[in-house]
Amino acid sequence: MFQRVLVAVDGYAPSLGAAKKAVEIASRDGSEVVAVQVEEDLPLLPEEKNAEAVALKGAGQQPLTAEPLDTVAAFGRKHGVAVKTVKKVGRVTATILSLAKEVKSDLIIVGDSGRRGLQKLYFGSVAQAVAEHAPCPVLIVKKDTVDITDLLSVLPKAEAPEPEAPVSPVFQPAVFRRNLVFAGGLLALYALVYFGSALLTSAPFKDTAALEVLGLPLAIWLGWITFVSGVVVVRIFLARSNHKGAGSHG
Amino acid sequence: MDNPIALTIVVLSIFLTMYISYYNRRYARTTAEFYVAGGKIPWRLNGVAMLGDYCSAASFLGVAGAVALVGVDGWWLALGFFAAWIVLLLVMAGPLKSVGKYTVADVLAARFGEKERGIRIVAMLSTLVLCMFYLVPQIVGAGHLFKLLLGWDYLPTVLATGTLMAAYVIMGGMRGTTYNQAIQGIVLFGAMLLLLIAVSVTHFGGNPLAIIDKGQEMVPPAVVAKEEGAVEMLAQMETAEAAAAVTAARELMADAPSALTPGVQLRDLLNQASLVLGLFLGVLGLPHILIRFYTVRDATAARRSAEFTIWGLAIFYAAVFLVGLAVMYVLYPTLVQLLAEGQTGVARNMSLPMLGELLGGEVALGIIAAGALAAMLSTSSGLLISATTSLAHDLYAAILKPQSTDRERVIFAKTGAGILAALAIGLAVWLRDQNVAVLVGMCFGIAASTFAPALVFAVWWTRLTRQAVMAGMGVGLVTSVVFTFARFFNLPDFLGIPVLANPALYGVPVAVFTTVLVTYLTKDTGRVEEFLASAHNN
Repeated sequence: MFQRVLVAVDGYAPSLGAAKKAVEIASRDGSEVVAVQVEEDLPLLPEEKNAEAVALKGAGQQPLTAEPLDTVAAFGRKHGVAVKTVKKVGRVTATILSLAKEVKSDLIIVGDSGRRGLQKLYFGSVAQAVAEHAPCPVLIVKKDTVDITDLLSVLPKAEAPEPEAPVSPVFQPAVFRRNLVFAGGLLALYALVYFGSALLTSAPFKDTAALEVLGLPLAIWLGWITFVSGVVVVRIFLARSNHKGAGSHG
Repeated sequence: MDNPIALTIVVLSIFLTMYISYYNRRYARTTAEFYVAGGKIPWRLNGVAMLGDYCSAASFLGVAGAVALVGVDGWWLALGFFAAWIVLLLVMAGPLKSVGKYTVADVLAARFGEKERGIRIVAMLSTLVLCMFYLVPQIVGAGHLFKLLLGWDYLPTVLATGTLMAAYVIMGGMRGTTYNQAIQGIVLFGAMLLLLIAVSVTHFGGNPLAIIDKGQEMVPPAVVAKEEGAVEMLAQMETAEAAAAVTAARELMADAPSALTPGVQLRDLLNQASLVLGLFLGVLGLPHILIRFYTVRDATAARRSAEFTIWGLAIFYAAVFLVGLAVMYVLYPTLVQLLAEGQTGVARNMSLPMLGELLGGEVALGIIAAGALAAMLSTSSGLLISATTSLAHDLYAAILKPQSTDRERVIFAKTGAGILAALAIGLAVWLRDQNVAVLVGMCFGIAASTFAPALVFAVWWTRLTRQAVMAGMGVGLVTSVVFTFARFFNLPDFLGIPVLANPALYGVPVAVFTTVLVTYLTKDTGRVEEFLASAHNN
């Protein structure tokens, strides 16, 4: 009946319920499952992200799996269903919908977290937004309506490939020293300008500061110079970083 | 109530920022459109938000107020605020972004180990002290602002506004701070430029440089207010007779310095050195400003925002100088009268809103007040978020009750933040007559004596040891706080050491010396190679 089922997952219970439904339907219809995980790219501070995770999912809720895509793929294998996994960064609803068009899915399944009140006003409902704009039928799996114990039971297997220890970069004293000399040099140069003009405007040097140069006291010129040289120093610093960035990241 | 229209604008603006942050968040999650290429945060938004973070109430109200009273000598503070941002960019921003740690305690833990309790405790104490002191100027500013709007006395105003601000922030009123900061950045920056243009047109024949010419004629109000004869004469004059008042004061005091002469309110060498040192290094220890570098994903966007910000800051602080001088000229008799009546807090902090009112009536006053209040609220929320994070994470979860639930931690942290806010309100009542920019300068001094050496050494010195970090921060904290209070109590000296305008000149060398000394006496350098590699290899 359905050729290609798209399911959105995030590691929390409602979306895993949706994933289980997707695999069940696919195994019945012989369809393919595309599982997508969308990470939002938001201008949030780290503390805000923490606070939001609590508000978004409810206090005390933890993600049931850190790698929901692997979990769904493993659950699919167990039931003989091919699961294609996609990880994206962007706006949640927009990404789900554009992927649905891209892979020509004929059913989208999403979980509904059942938020109410202010939280719903603030976060909105992705499930509702997907349903509203989707180019195909949508199945919304409501919170706590699907038993996901068997899906979670594949977890140990899903996590079988132990996360590799992050490769710690090797300390390169030469790079470190170069950075130190460059940043330190620029800082020293700027400190000279800054402390020079700042200390000139203390009581003992006030006559020097008040010397008239081109119609204005010397100190005011030094003030302008501090601003201009600040912009110049920043430009030099950023230019080198840009150059370096282009070199190492291509 | 003195200014119902302005007050309405302020209250509406609070609801507007709440609405914008709510709407934006929901929209980002549920829109079906990709309207930004690749879903990336535009660096301009981040640049404006950085600007909003940085040009807070202190720069906006405090520096302009200082220039309006003493002339060019009030401007040197702006130089320090500007330079501090450059130090931050050169020394800290890159390595910290590479390490990917956001709080001071986390950075130090990345080098010296998660289990390190001593460093965590000292870092937490420093965070709390800094947050409390930095809250004070926000509350003092808000108190004066609402006093101007409502016409109440300072004490009830500051108690009411301080409590409301704290409650609003602690209950999570500020959400999506990046958007709020960006709006605030635009409002403050726009208001500054608009004031400059408007006052140039109305009072200086459309030529902003004519302001400097007038500056050479004016005797700064701070000088005039000390001359009884001049005060008596100016007391008769209305604001509208400002030009005549300027001329009259100059005739009466022919030899007095002008608003462009350095020397009206210059500090002696030690005081000045202490202040500029504190400003120069202070931002390194103020994580709520540093953190803005982390909100953009890639390094290029971070650099673009940084470049955007530096131009913005240069223009802003240059404009502050001209606007401050213009305020002096336009409000001349009023400023002298305020100073003569002893209303220094108002004269020091409220001259910009008063200029707005004069030029654009209550509407302009309302917009400026709304921008300034937004700045105070968002700075307060940044501070209280730092404080609650530190309380929940570094104190409750790490030390007091490791098995606690999320809920218990949140309750503990919010209670702690409430107590902190109450202490800050108390201090704000006591320190009502201080210029908010000077109060912020004190915080820079404490930050420069605690976090700045610890962070700079941790990122740039291979030899640094665990014990040295703890000792350096601890000694710096005690020294700077003692001298801050000595200053607030107006003590001329403490244990025979003269008390300066800023604690940095004692705090910084003592902290640096202690750190270096203890480093050479101890050996535990932490995971130095691993840490420095992640900080510097890209």
